[in-house]
Amino acid sequence: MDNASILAELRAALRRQGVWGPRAERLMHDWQEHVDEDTSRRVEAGAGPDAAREAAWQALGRPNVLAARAGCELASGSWLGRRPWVGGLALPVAGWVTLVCATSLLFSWVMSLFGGFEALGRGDATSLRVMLGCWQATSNWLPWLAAMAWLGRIAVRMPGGWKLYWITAIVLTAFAPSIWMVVHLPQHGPRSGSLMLYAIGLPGVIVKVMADLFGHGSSWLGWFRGASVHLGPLIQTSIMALGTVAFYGRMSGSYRQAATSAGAIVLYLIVALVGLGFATL
Amino acid sequence: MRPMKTKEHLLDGVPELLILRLLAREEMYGYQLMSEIHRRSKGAFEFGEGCIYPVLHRLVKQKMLLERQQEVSGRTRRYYRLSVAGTKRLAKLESTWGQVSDTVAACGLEVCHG
Repeated sequence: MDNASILAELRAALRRQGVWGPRAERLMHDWQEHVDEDTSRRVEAGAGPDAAREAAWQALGRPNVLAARAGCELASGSWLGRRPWVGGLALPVAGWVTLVCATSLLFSWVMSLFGGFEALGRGDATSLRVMLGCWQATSNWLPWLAAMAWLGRIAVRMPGGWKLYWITAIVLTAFAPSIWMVVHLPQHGPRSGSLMLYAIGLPGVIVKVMADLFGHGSSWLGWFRGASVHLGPLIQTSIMALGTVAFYGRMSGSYRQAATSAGAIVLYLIVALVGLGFATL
Repeated sequence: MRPMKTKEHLLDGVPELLILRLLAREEMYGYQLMSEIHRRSKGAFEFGEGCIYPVLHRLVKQKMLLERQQEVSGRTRRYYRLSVAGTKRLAKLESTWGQVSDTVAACGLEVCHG
């Protein structure tokens, strides 16, 4: 095998380990330099140039082994790399949930800016409705896209590699369509609009419960302005969560599902209590 | 004596310890370092020659090593030397290694005299 094809194989093996760009080029340079040095020593000792180069590559190590070692070593140099489940799973999921909450808060803020919606002309109102509709669809999927992009950047260089990437992608994709934001524009005077978070299935309930930790966006904005927080949404979500979990548990009929449902109820109660604690501050 | 972590593989930290020890004596480049390890250990450690570079790069990233480049015979060679942080790390690794070595030796003595 010639020098160029070995280098190409090395580069491909590094890429499979999630090592590319300047880090890969640095390694390739050092390995090439090592082989050149080793070759010249072997030639000085009397070996033929081609045989010397081949022997030098063999002594360096097989491309797959070198790349695997490089992937592990470079990953172990960072805090996230030493904790693949945090970087590859927990962080993207937590980031996604945070983004859902952040976009809901942003949405409610924009809604508050358009408090005088009914004063707009018919043409402007239609344009605004279309614009908000597009934004709504974007913000429903933006957190999911951001989480996937983050995963694409970091997960591949974790020891879990692509396997971990796909597991996380499936988890995130299962959650992503499970919660949906809908804005009702204030058409009957200020404070007549609302932001609804629809939860679909058990994953949706869990995500919605987490979102409730921050309260419904509009309620929190009202709270910052000194208004009292309405407990209605929390009670509504509570009833919906219990109803969904009961329905889900009954339909599944297995101990595993029952345990999951019970876990969701406990999680909800904890979060709801924390939420209520914040609300009564 | 402070308890030592035992979950790590026995030889996981050995290449790092060897690199830091050799670079504490003098500045070296990759091939020279590998040759020195091979010569001094009499071939006792069988990790591939190329595996030393990812360790070097990690140590540079963690600021344990400092590096400089030099043109030699038309090729760019990277020389590595120990930083202050690397010196501290070496002292810590040597202390841990001493503890492991003493403990293993003590266990051996108990077995011999038991």
